[in-house]
Amino acid sequence: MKADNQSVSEQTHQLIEFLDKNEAILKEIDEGVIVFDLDGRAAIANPSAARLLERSVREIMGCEIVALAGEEVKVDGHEQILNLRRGDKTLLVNLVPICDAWGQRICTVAVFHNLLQEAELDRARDDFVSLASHELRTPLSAVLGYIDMLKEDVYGPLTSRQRRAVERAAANTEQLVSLINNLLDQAQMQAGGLTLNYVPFSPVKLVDGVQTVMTLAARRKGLNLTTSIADDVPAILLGDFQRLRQIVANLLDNAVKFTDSGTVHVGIYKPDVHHWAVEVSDTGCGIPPEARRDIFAPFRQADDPMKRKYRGAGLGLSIVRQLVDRMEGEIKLESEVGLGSTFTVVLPLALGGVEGVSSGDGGESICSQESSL
Amino acid sequence: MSDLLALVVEDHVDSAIIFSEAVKRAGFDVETIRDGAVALERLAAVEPDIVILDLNLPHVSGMDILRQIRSDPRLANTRVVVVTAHDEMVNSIQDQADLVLIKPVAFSQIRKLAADIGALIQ
Repeated sequence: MKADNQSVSEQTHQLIEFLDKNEAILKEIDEGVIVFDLDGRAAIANPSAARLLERSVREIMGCEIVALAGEEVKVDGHEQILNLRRGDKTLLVNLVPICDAWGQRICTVAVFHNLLQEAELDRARDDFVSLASHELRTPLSAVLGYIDMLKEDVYGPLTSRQRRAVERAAANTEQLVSLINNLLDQAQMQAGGLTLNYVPFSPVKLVDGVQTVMTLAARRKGLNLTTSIADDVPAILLGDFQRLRQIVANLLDNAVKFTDSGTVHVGIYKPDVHHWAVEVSDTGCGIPPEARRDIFAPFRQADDPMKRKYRGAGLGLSIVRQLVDRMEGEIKLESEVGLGSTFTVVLPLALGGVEGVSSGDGGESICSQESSL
Repeated sequence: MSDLLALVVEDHVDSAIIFSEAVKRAGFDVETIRDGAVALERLAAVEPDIVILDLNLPHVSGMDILRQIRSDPRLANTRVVVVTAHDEMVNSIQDQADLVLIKPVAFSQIRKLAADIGALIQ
């Protein structure tokens, strides 16, 4: 059953009256809001709309959208999205019909967003994350370095009590490093909107970089950290090196964290002609089947008892999943409780001409392949 | 007494101390430089086996120093390990550097890396 026109215009009138009386609702919001009645004329406008359109509220009232947008736009029963230039501003306009319970349109609401302002905010957020990243990592690096030097007797031999204290400081600092790395990665992804930047890179350097950084934590736990790159992997691959480094570092960090004895291995190989893969395997505690579904969700770890034993924000694998999805890759998990886990990230090879540059010098490894000690 | 030479180019005082000590313990003679322009001057005079390079430096950036090293045939055998807190710079330098490490980086990581490079050279 349809409402007749009389009751529709009554409803429109009621809505406009309600908004008029309760002007505080619209007054404070940053988006510009204009309500157009059934004749297509502005009946309500908030101060943000006036500011964005560079007119007074009084000037806007009664105008049709065409007069305001300066383009051939008609308010009709459809939702519309428009881009509007206003001086140095770019406005995004959402036109949304508001309907009554019978689906009859009673008015149209136009919401104006200032795109330039949002871009500026994004840039400011990027700059802040970059600054915070630098300001956190630099002193943390010094702390880690000095603790490590004490541990290595650079400042003379330690008594056993001193050594225990330094070991504690080292273990806590490493936790902090892992946490800060994850939080910064997450913040960076949110700020940068996850734009990928593909560059030619050497898989050898990818493995060397993360291996060098993770060797310390692995050695502290008495673990073997081994690496391999299959012969048929091109010397130069195409990918976002920085993000790939994050993926491998996070998987490796995770593997070392959940492994108490044995080996952690990083391998790069070609599962088929169209893909390359990086796998990180460990001889750790394994992940029970019921926990596998949630393991890539943020702030999760496999289960509660483990949570107490292994610290961390539970962000690492969620970051990996987000990055791999963005790269149109796939992440697989094989695991057996008590025996260990293997995470495999499979990524597309091609994206043009990779094989063509594969003859180039990818660089030889400057890390020794075994790094237990 | 050692024939191996390392330049540590880093303006952050503590990082410079830590990295210099690490390469020294890996068997290198070490020169520590805290200014980009001074680093370029030294690089015109010596042929280091390894350069531990920060990116954020006064007067001349680590990026420019890296470019200079790579364009100088005299320094063709110089290994450059970039150590930076700016991981957003990684993509633009990874092809020119032998290795890129993101801070925090520990003393023993640099020492082991330098020892590996030393072994590779000799």
